[in-house]
Amino acid sequence: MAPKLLSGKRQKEVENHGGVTDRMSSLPDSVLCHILSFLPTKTSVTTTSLVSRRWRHLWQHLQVFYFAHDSGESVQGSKKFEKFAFFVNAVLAFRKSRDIRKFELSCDIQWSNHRCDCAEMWTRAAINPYLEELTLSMKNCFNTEPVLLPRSLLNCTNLVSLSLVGDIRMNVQGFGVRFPSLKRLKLDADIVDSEIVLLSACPVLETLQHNYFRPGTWAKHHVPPSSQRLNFTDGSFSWTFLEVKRWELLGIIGNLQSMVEACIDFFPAQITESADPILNGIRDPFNGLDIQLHHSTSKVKLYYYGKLHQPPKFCLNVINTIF
Amino acid sequence: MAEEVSSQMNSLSISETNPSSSATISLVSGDDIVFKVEPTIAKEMETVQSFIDETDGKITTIPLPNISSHDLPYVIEYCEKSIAGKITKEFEAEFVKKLNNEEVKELFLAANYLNIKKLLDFLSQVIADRIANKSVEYVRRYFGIENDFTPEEEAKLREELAWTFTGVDPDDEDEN
Repeated sequence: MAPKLLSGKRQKEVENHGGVTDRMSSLPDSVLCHILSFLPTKTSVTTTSLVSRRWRHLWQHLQVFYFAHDSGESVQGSKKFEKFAFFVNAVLAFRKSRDIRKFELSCDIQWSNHRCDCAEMWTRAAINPYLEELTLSMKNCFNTEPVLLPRSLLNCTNLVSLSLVGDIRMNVQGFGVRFPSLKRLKLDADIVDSEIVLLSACPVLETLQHNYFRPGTWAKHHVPPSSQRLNFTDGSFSWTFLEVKRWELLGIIGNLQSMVEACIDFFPAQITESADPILNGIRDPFNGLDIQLHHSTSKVKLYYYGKLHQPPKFCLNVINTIF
Repeated sequence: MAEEVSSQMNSLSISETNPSSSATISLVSGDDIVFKVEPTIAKEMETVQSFIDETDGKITTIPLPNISSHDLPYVIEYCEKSIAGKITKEFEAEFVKKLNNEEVKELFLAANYLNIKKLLDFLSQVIADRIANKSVEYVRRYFGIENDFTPEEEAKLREELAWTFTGVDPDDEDEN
């Protein structure tokens, strides 16, 4: 009786949907795995593996991992992290595909040295020549050493997207860093030892998002304070240096060959009003710069109409400066 | 949406009265409706393009028996936006709002068949969003999968999963 019911139901499905669900179920593993690679890893492992025998081991072929842990530090917090760590370790140990294309780790917790060690180990596991996207967000690392990214990351020449937020350090100076495929870069301040070196190593960068822009860290290396011109450092990107109100220095990088947009955070939204005088200060000495203010987003768009054939477009998102 | 479909239909009827200019590619849906598209659109569809390449561009009418005339305009619309570089979050949100679960699946199958990477990725994300935080039973229904575990097996598997991935002590956090 039961099988008859089932086939009747299926018949109905075919009539109703042209068999679309049936065709979904007969997709090859690789396509189903592709769908799984858009789910949080936790869901792929603990929910979809229970769907059927065939689906049980699908997740093991994943090359994309999203791990997120967010626990308010309560009495339970420590236990929660232990479970999370157990989960990540188990997933990384049981996976069958050794190549990871995309890896995202986001932890908003209080870090201890042990937890930093965990994060470092997981990052090492993710680093491989096929890595295309790496997203690390490690917040609230009070009282601990920041997570130091292994040097082997600098060999990930297939990296297309790199996002580093929180207490992370990456040393690039003197290592011959080169990211020939990197198109998207998001950075907090004080993550890399030299932003200039890193940006010089990204010839095809399209989108740069830099939080907590600190003029000093950008300016001191290359451009003498007297210079207020568009400068080319090593040919891979250009650099506009602005002196605002004599003491405030503002560097704008741009024209990273194919860069479409650069976002540099410079001051918090609540003091947007303070931006106007600064921006006027920028506008006056630079007639070539057309500055548009967007108060709603505290974003400032800078368009440079200089001597270049194709005017590069800057988007300056201003945050955190000392007035 | 209705407007877009009707404009699609207009271009369709025009193309039917004007037999093919050699520049355009004719895509024939499973229900025998012809859609004329620019070669740049065909390029987005790897399956179509490789068919054209294999015949050195001599054949410009391509039957797509697996794709209905209901779904093909969506695919073409997405490809057009993609070429124009106008795939924004807003566009994708509007695009997906028009689609019910069955249509999402149909389009996913179409994108997979035509090998349109961007559309496939986008629809994979849509499907992932629609099954995330849902029960195992929901996922089974969504994909039309019969549960071939015995109840004992499934219970054992759940227990194993809880142990393996959250440590000893499976408890209230399993649903996270």
